[in-house]
Parts: sequence; structure tokens; C-alpha cells
Amino acid sequence: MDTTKVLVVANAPGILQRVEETLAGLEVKVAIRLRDVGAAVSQHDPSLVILYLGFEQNSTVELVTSLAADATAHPPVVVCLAPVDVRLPLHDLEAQMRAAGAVEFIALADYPRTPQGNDVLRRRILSAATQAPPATPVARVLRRAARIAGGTAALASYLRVPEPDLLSWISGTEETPEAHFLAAFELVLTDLERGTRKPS
Amino acid sequence: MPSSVHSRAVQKAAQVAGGRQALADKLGLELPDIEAWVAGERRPSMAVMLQLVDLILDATD
Repeated sequence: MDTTKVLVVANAPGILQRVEETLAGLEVKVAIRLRDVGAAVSQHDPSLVILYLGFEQNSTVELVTSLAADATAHPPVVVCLAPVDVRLPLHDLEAQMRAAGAVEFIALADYPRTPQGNDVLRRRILSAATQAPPATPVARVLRRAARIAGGTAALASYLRVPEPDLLSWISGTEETPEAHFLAAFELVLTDLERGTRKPS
Repeated sequence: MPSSVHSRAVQKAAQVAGGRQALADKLGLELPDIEAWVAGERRPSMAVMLQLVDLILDATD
């Protein structure tokens, strides 16, 4: 995998500057709006998408889900950067982003803006790109079903399970009960049979 | 009676693979098994279901 092509998605000039400093020497493209990401991915085919979590949360989750679920043979690895002043508890935000398909979740507060801090941050970002495990079939089904349902909250409601349980199944920290997996897969099949997603 | 999710999955996988025989060849399955799963006479194992899932999702991403 070519880890040198990076798309940075951030709407804060200070964050953009820091990430570009941190990733000096790599081929870095920038998107400052979520709606530009799809076109940027198509155009530049990055192996790594670094997403700053300073955008509206639901749209951010949708984007991560879309990148993880819609990708072709070589989906970009999504690394999330949490702002210092994040509103949700970090654990909840991390669970949500990982469930959506993010491979790595990094709290910027853990990395001081010093040459050493930037170096450690760079190594952590790049290691995510090389260590990303392939998504399991179960996780792929649940992510696709979540997108069809309109998000993980909607899918959890459809499956009549608590959303945290669903998030733990998607992230692989808990095993998905077979009945719920099959119900989610049925949702995907129904969507395919309706012809809203054509085989390529 | 509506088809089970198992039967529908096998039918969809056969569609994306290019037919039931092609699906059998691709995943190392036996054609009579596929026919029985489609007919709803038996169900594929979860291991086979996961193979079908990968095939279907790969073809429809």
C-alpha cells in the first residue's frame, strides 16, 4: 500500500498547519469541507484519510461510514483526530468513529506540538495505515446496514438493540449474535433487491 | 411464504458470480448443496454465509 498519499480533512487552519508539518515529505492533499471529500478521494486515490473531528458529528459519522463501506479494492484507511476541546466523552466518540469504520482514533491533546510530539504523532498515523486489519464480513454487513438505515442509532432501533451493543459488534469488541447479523444482512439484501445499489 | 435470508443470499451470490455453477466453482461448493439452499430445503453454514456476504458486498460496493 502506498502510504505517502494522504488526504487531510480539516476545517481549522491551525490543525491543517499542524498535520502538514507532521506529515512533511508525504503527498498531502487537503479538503476543508466534508462534501469535498468524495471528489478528493476519487481524484487523488489516497491510501490514508486523516479526518479532524471538528465538523458536525452526524455528517462526520456518515462520511466515515461511506468511506469504509463504499470503497473499492483498496479503501483508504481513516484516521480520526479528536480536538482538544471535544464535547462528547472521548471514549464515546472513539467508539462511534471506530464503529463507522475509522481504523485509528487519536486525541491531539496527547501529542504536544513540539518536534518530538509531532514525530510520535506522525509514526502513530503512519502505523495505522500499515496495520489496518481487513474488515470482517460481519462488520461490513453492519456498516452497510447502518448506512441504509440512516445511521447506527437507526439500525440499533431497527434491530431493537442498544446502540452501544451495536457499536461494539461493528468494532469487533463483542461478537454479533447470529440473529442480529442475519437481520442486518436481510436489510442489505432487500436494499440490493430493490435495485438501489447495482452490482458493478 | 417469503424466502429466507439464507436462500436470498445464495441467490444473490449466484447472480453476482454469474450463475449457480460459477458460484460453486468460485467458493468450492457443491452444486446440489447450492440448489438445496436456494430451494430452502437446507441452510448453508455460517462459514458459507460469510463467504457469500463477502462476495455480495465486494460486487456491490
